[in-house]
Amino acid sequence: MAAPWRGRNAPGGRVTEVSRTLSEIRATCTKAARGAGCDWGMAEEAGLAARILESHDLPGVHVLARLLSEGASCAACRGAGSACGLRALAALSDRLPFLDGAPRRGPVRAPLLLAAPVILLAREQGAAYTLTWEGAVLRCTPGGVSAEGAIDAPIATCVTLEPAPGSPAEPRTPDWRSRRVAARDWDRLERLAARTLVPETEASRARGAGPADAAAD
Amino acid sequence: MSALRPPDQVMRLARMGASHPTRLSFMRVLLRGLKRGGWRAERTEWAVDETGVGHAVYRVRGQGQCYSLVAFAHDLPDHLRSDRVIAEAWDTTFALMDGEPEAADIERLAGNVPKQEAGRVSDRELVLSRANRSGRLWEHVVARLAEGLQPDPARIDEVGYLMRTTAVYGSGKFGAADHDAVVGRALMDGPFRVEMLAVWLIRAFVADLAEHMAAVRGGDRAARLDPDLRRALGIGNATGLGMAPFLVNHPDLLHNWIAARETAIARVRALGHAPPEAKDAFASALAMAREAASGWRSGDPVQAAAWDALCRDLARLSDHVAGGALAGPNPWDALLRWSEAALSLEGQEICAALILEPHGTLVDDLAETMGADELSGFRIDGAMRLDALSKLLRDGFGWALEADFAQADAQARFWYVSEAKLEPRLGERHAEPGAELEQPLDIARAAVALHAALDGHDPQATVADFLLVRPEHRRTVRRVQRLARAPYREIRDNLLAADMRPVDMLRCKLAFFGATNFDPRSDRWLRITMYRGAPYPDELHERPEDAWLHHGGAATLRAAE
Repeated sequence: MAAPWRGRNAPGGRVTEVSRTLSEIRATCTKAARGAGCDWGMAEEAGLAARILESHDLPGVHVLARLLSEGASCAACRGAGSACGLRALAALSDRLPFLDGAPRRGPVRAPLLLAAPVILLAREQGAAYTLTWEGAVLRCTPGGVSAEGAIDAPIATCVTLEPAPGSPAEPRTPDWRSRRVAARDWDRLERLAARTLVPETEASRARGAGPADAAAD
Repeated sequence: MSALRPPDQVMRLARMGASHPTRLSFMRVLLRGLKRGGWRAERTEWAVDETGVGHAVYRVRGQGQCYSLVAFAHDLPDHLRSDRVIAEAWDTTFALMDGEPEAADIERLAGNVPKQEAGRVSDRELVLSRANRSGRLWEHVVARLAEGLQPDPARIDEVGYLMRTTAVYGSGKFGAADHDAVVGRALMDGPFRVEMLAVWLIRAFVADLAEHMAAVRGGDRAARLDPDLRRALGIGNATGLGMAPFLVNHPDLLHNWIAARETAIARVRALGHAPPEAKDAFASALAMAREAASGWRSGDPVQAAAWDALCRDLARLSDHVAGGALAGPNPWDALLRWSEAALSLEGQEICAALILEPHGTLVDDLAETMGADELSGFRIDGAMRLDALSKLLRDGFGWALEADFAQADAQARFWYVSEAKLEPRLGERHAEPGAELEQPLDIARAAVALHAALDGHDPQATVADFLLVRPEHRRTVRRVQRLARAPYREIRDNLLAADMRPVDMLRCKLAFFGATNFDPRSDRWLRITMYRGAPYPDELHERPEDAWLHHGGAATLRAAE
């Protein structure tokens, strides 16, 4: 299997990493998107996108963590137009398999997120697609993804999507194993996810989720 | 084949809450597969000391695979014993791993498994679990065996298990291997197969541990458990709200489980007659169920009444069958129609389960349809027109459109996750804070809101265009669209209602696992027993196959002999 991708935008020096399963990635990214202000429907897209990208060794966790931490909430994004990668992902996904007018013109933050629905489409259709933006090319095929360049770019001015017959020389095939992600990114996501939790009160603890302590048993 | 029972009938919470295990339940499927596949199990390590502390390894091998349960036994002070997810120590903790552990693996696991959620396991571990003693039964069994005596069958039946698991984690939790790890593996590629394997091995360890402690106490005098009594012991489980969101969050799995069961029922209903072997097998299964049901108890008044009704139903069913109900044409179909008119929900559902028993060759293949690829079909179909979406919404959520969400009772509850150990909870909307953080289990309410939102939009507009301006409906649109291909996906009841019983959701899932002895302790948690009556690993190939759907209990064994 090809070595995991490491972006040219990674900070210099050692990056502390943690290992997380694809399930954990999906669950935490979903909750983090929600915690950042996304509707649940959009949060689900974020979680699945991160899982799909990471399963192909693409830096989904990093890109999402950065996007969600940039401070603009979903409401603010909506007001500013679809510059957010998640909104662009949803708009693109909903228009596939029709490529006309997709993705919309204009700058997109976290453009890597757009690869997730394209990867799913490639698998569904048994076809190949190329997603490009300045300095980056991703080739999504039923067998896997090949990626070159600044795929973890924070923003792209112009994203294009085209059918691309033929197979790349060395696609990264997806697998189910745990992934190494930057601890800093994971912390950001967990902090956002924590916003979806309800603080404990004495009353809620007593009412509880169910099983009492087993003293009587 | 007959028509399948419709979703509006089988996906109501009250009926889901009356689910019974069937031959398609996961524990049954697993043990059938282990026996037919020639799997072998051995205890390969026993390093538990005379204080009951240490570890053991149980290995199973078959069909080109090898799994090991690494079991740790701890010295847990009584005051720390708790079934809550927020517990931090347990009597026993476990990991099921791929392959066999080396010394370094045991060391690594010893440093993490006893911590459970506070530790991490690796991609080589498939399941993480823990179990606590039944205070009622553990001491009795160990004490009796230590004296060279067998435990009292009545005491065994009162509890049903020596230990109960309080969580069984798989599918990528806490570092464990993602579910995709088992894709393609013979027998283990199926819903909860490895989890059920882990519990089966845990049961063996627990029995061994009790015998070990008896031997420590009683020396040469100590006895081992009589095989029949040992078999009457299952593994208990305390299941609470943590499991409830599963059915809502994994609708494709839910659909496939229900569809498999309903397809099996329909296949049997289509049979033109019942040959003598089938009638005998049914009578035998029914007798076992009656025996078992007579021992089912619950402190919860709703369930206690349901068990009383079930016992009466089973008597009526027995009389009806003894009177020749299976002699005519299409006997199974006639029997189910009769049950729908004559029996309670519990009676109807156990009848539907029992008619599958004689027909393994007709229905067992459906077990392989119960997994789901949850990623395919995730994408929203943006090209769908709004009028088509509206029709799907009305067809699939008509039951929701009838609820009046302006009424306080209709939104009385909210689901949330608490900060403390990420424990799912059910809150009272009008009495507690936190509703603004509610989890998305409000499908009925969301469907009603979507229905209202679609009003006034051009019916020829596309879903893609609609979602650009109304993105808050994205989640609901996705669920509505999928219903067309998978009608059993949705629980057709309002999960926010004041009178909603979460145990109904838990019971449905647990019945698919193969659990029995459902004992709700409140409307939101219940005790169950798993593998009661099932063979142990050391007798898997000697015991009759699949003969343990309903176990009458230890006290009946002596009478039967």
